[in-house]
Amino acid sequence: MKTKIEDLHKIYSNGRSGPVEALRGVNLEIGSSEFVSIVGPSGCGKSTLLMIVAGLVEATSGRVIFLNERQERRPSAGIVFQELALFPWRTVAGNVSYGLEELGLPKKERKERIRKLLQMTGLEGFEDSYPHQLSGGMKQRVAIARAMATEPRLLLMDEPLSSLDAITRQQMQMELSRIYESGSMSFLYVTHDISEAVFLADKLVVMSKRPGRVLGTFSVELPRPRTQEVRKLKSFLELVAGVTDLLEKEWEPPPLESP
Amino acid sequence: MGTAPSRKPMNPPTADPKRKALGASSLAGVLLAWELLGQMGVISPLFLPPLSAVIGDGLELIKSGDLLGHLASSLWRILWGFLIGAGVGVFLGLTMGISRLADASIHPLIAATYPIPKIALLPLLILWLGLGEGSKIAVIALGVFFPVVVNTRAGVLDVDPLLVKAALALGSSRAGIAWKVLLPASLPMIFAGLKLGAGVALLLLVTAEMIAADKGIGFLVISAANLMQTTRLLFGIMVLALLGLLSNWLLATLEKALLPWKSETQGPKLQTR
Repeated sequence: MKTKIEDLHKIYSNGRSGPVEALRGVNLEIGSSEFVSIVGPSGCGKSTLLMIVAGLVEATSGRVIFLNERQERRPSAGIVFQELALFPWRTVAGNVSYGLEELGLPKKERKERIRKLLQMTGLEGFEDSYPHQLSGGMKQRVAIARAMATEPRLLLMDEPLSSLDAITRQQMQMELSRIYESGSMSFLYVTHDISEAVFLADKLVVMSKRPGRVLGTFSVELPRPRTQEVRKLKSFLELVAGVTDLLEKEWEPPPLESP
Repeated sequence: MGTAPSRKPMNPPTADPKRKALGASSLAGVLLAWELLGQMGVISPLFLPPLSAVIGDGLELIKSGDLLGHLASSLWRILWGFLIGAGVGVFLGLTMGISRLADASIHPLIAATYPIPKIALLPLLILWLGLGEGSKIAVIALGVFFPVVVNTRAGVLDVDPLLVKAALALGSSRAGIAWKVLLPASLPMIFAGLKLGAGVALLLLVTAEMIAADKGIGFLVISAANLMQTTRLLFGIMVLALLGLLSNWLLATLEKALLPWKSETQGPKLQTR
C-alpha cells in the first residue's frame, strides 16, 4: 500500500494567543514497504501530521490517500503514541487483543495471533502481566505489538523510544529494524534523534520549525539488515552530518529576554 | 529493630502482623473493660449492662428466630435500595460523562438536589409510596445514587483522552469506547462512590426503620430503647456494626476481583516503590 500526503495544512483555531499554524503545505509519499523517518525541531507539527494520517485529527485542507490494492475492513494505519497509551486494566495479551476484538476475530484466531506477536516482540512469558508491572522497554514492545496486531499496511510511530535509556534505546532500534525487515509494513516514524532517524530509514524527511514544511528529503542507502556495524559506516556518518547541517540552519537562538 | 522506625517501605497498615496483633489486643481490652465494669457494679446495668448479658440476650433473640426476621427485612431493604441507587447512578454517571447534551441537562439537577439531607425526603416518600417497603427502599436508593453518580461522572471525565484516541485508532466505535475504555478506566472512581454509598445506605436504613417500620434492626434498636431494654439495644448496635463490616468486606472483595490491575499500585502515598 502506498500512502500519499497531499498539500496538508493544519491551523488550530483555539490557540491561547490566536490561531496556530501547525502545518503548511506538507507533501509526502510513503512507498509500499518503505521506512520513512521524519526529523524536525520540537513543535514542528510532526505529531499533528501523524495524528492526521491516523485519522484522529482533521486537516484544515489537503488530504491523505491510501492507495490500497483492495478495500479492507481493518484500519489502514496503526499508531504507537509517544506516551504509549496502554490500557492499564488489560494485561499484555489483553492490550494486544484489543484491535483484534474490534475486528471481530474469533477467540481461537485471536489467541494464535497474539502468541505470534508476543513472540515477535520478545514478550513471551509476560502475557498475563499488567502494564504497570513492566519496564519502559517492555511497555514499548507491548505498544508496538498492539498497533501491529490488526496488520495495518502503515505503522505510525511518534517518538516511541524517547523515554528509554540510551542502551535500551539502541536495542529497540535494532528490534524495530528487524520487525520492519521481516514484514511488508510501511513505517512513518517521527523522532528528534537524527542518528536514530538515519539508522532506521529508507527515506528521511527533514521538517522545518512551525509552521511545519518539508525542508528536504534524503534517500538512505545503507545496507540491510541494519546492525550496529552500520553506525560506523562513513556513509552513515555523512548522512547524519548532512541532516544536522540542514537542521542547524533552521535553528535560531531564541531572542534574549530583558530581565 | 524493635519499635525503631525502619527504612523499609511502609506497608499498608493492615498488612503488618505486629500491627494486626496490636489492633486485636486493644479491641479485646475494651471489651474486657466493658465486661468488668458491669460485673463489678461500677455502672448500673440500665446504662451499661455487661457484655455477657448483651450476648446472652442476643442468643435468645437468635434462638427465638426474632433476629432472623429483623435481619431479613433490613437486608432486603438495603440490598434493593443499594442495587437500584447504584445501578441508576452508574448508568446516569456514564451517560453524563459520555454525552455533553446529557451532562448539560442532568448535571445542574443533580448539583441542586445533592445537598438535600436524604432522610428529609422520607416523609414525602411515605406520602407518595405509603408506609410499606417502597418508601424505605426509595430513600436508601436516593442516598446511594448521589455519591455514585457524582463519582462515576467524575471518573469518566477524568479518563486520559489519549486512551480514547488509542481505541479509535484500533478501530473502536463510539459504543465500543464507552464500554471497553470509559467504563473500565473509571471503575476505580465508581468503586470509591459505591463505598461511600454503602455507608450512606446503612445510615438511612437504620434511620428509616426507627421512624417508620415494625421490623428491621433499626426498629429493634428503637423499640428496645423505648422499653429500656439496654441489653437488646446494645445487641442491635453490635449487629449493625457487623453489617457495616460485612458490606465493606463485600465491596473490597469485589473491587479486588474486578480491578486486579489497581490493587498492587494502591497503598499509602509515601510508600517507596
